[in-house]
Amino acid sequence: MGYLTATVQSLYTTLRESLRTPSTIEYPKVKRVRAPRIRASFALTRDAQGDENCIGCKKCEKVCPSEVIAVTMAKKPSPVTTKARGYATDFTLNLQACIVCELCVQVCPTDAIIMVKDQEKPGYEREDLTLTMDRLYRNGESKERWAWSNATILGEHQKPPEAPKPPAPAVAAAPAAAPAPVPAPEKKEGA
Amino acid sequence: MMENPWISGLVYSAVLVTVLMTAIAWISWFERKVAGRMQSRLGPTLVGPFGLFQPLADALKALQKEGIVPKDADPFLYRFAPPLTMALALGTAAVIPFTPHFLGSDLDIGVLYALALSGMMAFPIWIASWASNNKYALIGGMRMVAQGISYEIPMVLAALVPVVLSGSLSLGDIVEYQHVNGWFVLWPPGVGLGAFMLFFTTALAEGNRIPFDIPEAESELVAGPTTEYTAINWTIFAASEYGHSVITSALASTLFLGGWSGPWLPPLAWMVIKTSVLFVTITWIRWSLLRLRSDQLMALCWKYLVPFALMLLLVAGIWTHVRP
Amino acid sequence: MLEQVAFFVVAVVMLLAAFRVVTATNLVHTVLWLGVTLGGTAVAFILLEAHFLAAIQIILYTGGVLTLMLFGVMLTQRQQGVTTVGNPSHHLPAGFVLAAAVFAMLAGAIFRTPLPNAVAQGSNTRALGVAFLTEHVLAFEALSLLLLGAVLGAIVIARRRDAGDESEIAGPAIPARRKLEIGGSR
Repeated sequence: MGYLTATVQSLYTTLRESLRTPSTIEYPKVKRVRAPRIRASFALTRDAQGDENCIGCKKCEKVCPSEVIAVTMAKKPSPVTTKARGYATDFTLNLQACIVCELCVQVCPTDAIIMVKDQEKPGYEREDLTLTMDRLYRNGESKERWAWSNATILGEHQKPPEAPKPPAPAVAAAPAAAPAPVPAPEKKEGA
Repeated sequence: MMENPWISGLVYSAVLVTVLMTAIAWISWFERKVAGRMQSRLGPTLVGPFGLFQPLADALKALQKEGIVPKDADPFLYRFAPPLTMALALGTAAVIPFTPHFLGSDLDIGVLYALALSGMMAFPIWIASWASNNKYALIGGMRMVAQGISYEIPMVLAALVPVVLSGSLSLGDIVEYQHVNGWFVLWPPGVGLGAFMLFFTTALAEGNRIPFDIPEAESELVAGPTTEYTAINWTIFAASEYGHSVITSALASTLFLGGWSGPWLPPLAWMVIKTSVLFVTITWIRWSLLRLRSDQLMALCWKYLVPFALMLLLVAGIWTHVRP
Repeated sequence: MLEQVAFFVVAVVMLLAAFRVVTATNLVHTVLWLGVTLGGTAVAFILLEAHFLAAIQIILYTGGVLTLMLFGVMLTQRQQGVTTVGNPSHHLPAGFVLAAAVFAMLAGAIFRTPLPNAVAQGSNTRALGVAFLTEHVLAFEALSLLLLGAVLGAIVIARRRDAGDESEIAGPAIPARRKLEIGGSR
């Protein structure tokens, strides 16, 4: 008899499900509603004068756990300030192996590499998911697509908390301790 | 010209086969849509509006696939089995009265003919499994034959209940009787309903539909008896399996649900509605229930269904004598 | 005229199939050719307006007996996956003579039997059913007892032997199971 009730129950479940709206989202016709802090792809930024932010220091290449970034560095004169500085002549990011850990964004000293909110479209060839320099700079052009964080903001989040101030000395011991100068608090500004 | 039985028979067969094959093709679309909705997803949507041209895409895909014949397969039997299955599945449709006038041939042994052909369908699939020269296909084929011949017994006994109640083996007569005296599933109370449930269950078993689909258990035997069949051969098998389900739905609606009889709709509409309702139920059951194991299947048949069927037949016989 | 042609075709098919039953080397092919022969018999029944017998022939023979024979072939003879049978017929002329003699005997017997004229009132099925339950009810009941005996015999033969069911006749002594003593070796 247990079989019979189980049968009726499962039949009822499927009937009920068939009369509800299916939970399918017909991507890519319909875009899903994403969280506000979503990070999906990458971009390289330029500064206010239009000069490339990336100095080719290779910190992102070294920190990446999946080793998806490849940077070639050269010193060139800047087209804006005409001073020689480091540039990345070739910057490749393989999106297929990226684990979206955002470590490359955290370590960048110049806020050059950031993440953007839009997913790259799937493609038929391996090259469709390998981000080259021009794609990365194109991704970084419109500020609306930038994700919520860059290296500076993440650095602010990760600063150690301020040391608590020492308590004011008692009034009885004040004449004895007053002449001693209060040592200035040492700046413990480590990066 | 239509009075000539050869011409009318030929025309009717051509029309019936065309309609049935088209219906079978679009039933695959229907099953996928229903399956999707029951699993809270959409079925096929991309090919044509609502995915209606999906069967065409499937057919084109199957046609352009490579037809591999295993090296040691029996050359004649391997190729002969799929068309034979299809012929048996379609041949059963010749005796089903779709309307009072549109009947292939009102054989006076209509019920027996339909049961004979649908019971024989296990056979060409066994031939296919043996001709494939594949151990696992053979296991599937043996299971299917065992299941087929076991469930044929309660099926025949359940189908005998309307025969006993109406006094004729001819399907046309059975429908006429129900047109006058009410559908068998409703009257006589209990017996008709019991026989209908029994016939429906055994029809599921004969057609290898879940919960009785151990021969083609996908998680165990790849594709069961038809493992070695590729492209268009396998499509013919799948189509004949759908065809079998549709035809047994039509048969069940003829025997128990009154066939084409019903108030104020044209008879063909009633027939289509009843067959569709039964087919939707078969699909609904497929996507809800678990698969029975081989021994559970056999135990169900021999220990529960056969005594139940005999009892129903006895009650039906008694009813025929004492009916008010 | 059409019936003659149809009967001729059916007869040729049946004879050919029966011949292949005997001469095919693959056992499964043999059984399948037998299926064709029995199907031909069903068609012959239809030509003789015995529809009920044709349907029963298909259900019982091709649906049942053939399946049983196939199971028998599959379960008994496996030689590298191919079930073949050699057909060296050393006594072909004697075989022909014997077959001709049997055929002459059967044909003579059939042609000399005064068969009753078929009087079918209404449908053949109805006449058959009425005859079973009025004229030939004793044979009918005896047949059912025979079938019951066959089924019971099959069950007895196929029954698994239990451990306590050893019979002394079955060859050399098969050591019965002994209970293991605790802590002791056998």
